[in-house]
Amino acid sequence: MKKNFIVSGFLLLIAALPAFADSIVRVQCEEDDFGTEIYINGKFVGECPVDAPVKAGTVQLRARKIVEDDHEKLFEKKLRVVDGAAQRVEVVLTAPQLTEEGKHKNEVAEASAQLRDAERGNIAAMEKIAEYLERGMGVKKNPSEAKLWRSKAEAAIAQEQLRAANAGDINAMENMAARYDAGQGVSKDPSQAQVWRETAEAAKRETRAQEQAVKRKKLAQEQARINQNRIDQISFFEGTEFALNPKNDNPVASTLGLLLCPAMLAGDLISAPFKTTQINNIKSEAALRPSTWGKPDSMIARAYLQHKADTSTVEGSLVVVAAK
Amino acid sequence: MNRLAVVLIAMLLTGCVATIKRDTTGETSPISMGNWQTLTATLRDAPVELRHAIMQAGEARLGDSYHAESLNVPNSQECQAVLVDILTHTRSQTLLPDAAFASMNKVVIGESPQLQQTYASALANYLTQSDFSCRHPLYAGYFQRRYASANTATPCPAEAPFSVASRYDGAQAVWLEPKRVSSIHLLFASKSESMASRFGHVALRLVVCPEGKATAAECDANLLEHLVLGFRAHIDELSLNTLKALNGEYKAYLFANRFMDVYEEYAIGEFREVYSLPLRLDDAQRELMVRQLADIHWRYAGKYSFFTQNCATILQDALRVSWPEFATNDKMKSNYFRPDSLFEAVKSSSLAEGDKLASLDVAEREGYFFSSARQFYDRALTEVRNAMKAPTFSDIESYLQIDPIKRQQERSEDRQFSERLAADQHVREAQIMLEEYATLRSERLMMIEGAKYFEQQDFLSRTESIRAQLDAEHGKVFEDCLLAPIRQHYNPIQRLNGIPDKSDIPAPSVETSLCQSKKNKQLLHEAIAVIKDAKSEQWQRLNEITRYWAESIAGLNLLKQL
Repeated sequence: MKKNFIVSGFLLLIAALPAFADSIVRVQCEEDDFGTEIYINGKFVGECPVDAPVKAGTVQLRARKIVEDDHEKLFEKKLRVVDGAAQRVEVVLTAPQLTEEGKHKNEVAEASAQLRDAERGNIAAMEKIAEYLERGMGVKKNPSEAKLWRSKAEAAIAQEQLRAANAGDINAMENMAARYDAGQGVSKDPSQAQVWRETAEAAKRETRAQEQAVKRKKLAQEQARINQNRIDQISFFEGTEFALNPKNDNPVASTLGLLLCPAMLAGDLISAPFKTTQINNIKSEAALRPSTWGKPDSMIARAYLQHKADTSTVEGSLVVVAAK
Repeated sequence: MNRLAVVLIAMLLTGCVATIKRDTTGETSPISMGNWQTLTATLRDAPVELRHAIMQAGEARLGDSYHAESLNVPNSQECQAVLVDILTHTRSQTLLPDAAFASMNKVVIGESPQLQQTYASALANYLTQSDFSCRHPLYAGYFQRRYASANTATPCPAEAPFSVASRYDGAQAVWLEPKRVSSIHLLFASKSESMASRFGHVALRLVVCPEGKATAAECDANLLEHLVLGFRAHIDELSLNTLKALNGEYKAYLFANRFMDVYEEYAIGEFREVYSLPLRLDDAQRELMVRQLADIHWRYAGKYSFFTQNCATILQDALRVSWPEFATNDKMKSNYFRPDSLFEAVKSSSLAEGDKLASLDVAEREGYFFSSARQFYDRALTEVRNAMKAPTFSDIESYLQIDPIKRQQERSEDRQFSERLAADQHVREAQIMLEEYATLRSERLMMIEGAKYFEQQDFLSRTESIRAQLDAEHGKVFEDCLLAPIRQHYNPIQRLNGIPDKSDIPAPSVETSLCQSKKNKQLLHEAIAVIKDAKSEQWQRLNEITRYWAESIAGLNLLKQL
């Protein structure tokens, strides 16, 4: 019954339209949103709920409700209005959002804050304010001022890089070399660029050396572990300690070399066979070295020199540096 | 002159006192009738007294056992045999060995229970072999002096051989031209702790010049070719038996070694000082002495007793018979039983240039004194200790006690020391010296432990069972390269009849040279691995010291690469 009443009322309204209007749009809202401003094709037509006479065709409906300072709720819809027909629109507002004025106000505040920071030397702020000035965000568009801030930012970055380079940062050194080459943040200076390139190369070498040293240390530690295992397994000195001492010599030792096959040692039989020439060389050198080292004017040293002259082309011949 | 004497003279004329040509096999060949004139001339030069004595002795002997009818013209060997027979059975004092011969013979061949037989044989050879004086210079000299015979022998070969033993090359014949010997020294190695060297050791040193024209200084500095000839015991077992040494049960020989081997043995191996005293010999005496020593070297095999028949007493005897001035020198009339006493006596006599040792510093410079290497090692050790951050050794003994792997590790961990080793050659050489010493020392010990292992395993009596474990290839290498040398060690050293010529000296056996090949070393290594007694304590010890030795060499190689 009530529904029939509303429909018949709506029809009566259409019948009473002014002569210039072709149709009518009934805009309805939730009760909480009563008072929302309704615009049709940009023209304020009243507050929701409202019945707005429109001409047939496509119309743009916009609903806007100010909810608090700088914030608003919006609704927009494109409608196809048929001649002589009534159309009903239910407004469903968005969540509150900044108004254009609010946005602008924020941008101004942001730009102001960045400017303060930039003036205090904050590089990121310098770059931001340069960007704002270029785009006119929160400040008046000003390309030349923007460029100034960009160059200030580059200079500040260069100073930071210089500090890092001086502190040994290889990337910073290379960066400084590029800056001096290009005059970016610093005055163009090829010689300074070269200095920083060489410094960077030297630092790289040093770094590599350090890395290798670390690697060597690790390897040495690993080797030490392996060695210790081998030492634990071999235990050289059970029973040999006494005999190794030169004070406890065996008088037959010198003749025992001839017991085994000439040119072969017990070591050849037990360990991997050694080259006789290698062992011979070791022995020759071992015999000549003490006197040659300890008493360079001795006959042994002279004999060595004569021998060396005779065998100067022999690979691996003895080199002895006399005692100081 | 009776009929038998005539026959004897005819026999001598037709072959006995003749130039005997030696063919390439060393056999004597009959004298041809074509050489008759030569033989006659030789006989004419023979000492009359000797010829008469032989004739008389021959007459007596022929009366006993020969008939003239059986004496056709004999060949030279038969002739020599007849001469030996006559001389062996004669009672003529002219033809019997005297005290001088006995002394000399003792020096040449050692003990000789059948002195007359030896004399007869030597005299027969003297009369029948033209190269006798080259092969037996001491006998020839004696016969020349005794029978006042002229030295009509043909010139001797330019070179005389010595069998020079070294640890890595075995025994090799070294042909030495006596003219290249610029001086002969009496070498003395100071005493050591062992019983065998309680009073030191004496030997002779031949200062051999480099080939070609050389100055005296170049000869002195040519140490690598100098030879040392010394009487030593041949200890034909693996450890010294004191009782046998005292009772003279070891054989003595005149061994030849390279001077540098001797130096290494004494000055480095045993930390002994070596003195080298030049003897006052003229050129002719020196050349003759080299040949006489070669004769003794190849023939002598006497008894060795540490206190009564040792390096000093035998050398003194040898010098008496080979050097008249030595024999007649007042200071040499005493018998010196201690090497140090003999050396001091010679040094203070007119026989040697004793003043060369007045200043040891100068003597060391000039090659008459070689100090113990101990002081150099001690200095090297101090140098290395000072360069290390935290050395874990205080002397050479404690250095050797550190595991060679650990030593290398400590070096590489001490960064500052590693840098110093790389930059400072003096310190590096000092460090290398210490590692070389560890290598030498461990090699010495390795020899002892190796010998003990082979003795324990008694391979010689297990030959068959060992062969059963090895294939033919490994078995042959095992036999040639291990068993044969061990057998050789237990046998007396082979003696030759006087100074040999090249045809008398056997070439190094093919087996010996083959043993040096890489392949055969590997095969022997594998053979030992198959038959090893891995559980034996001795094998473990041998392994331990062998690894110590091998690790020391590895460390040494690393140091040399710096």
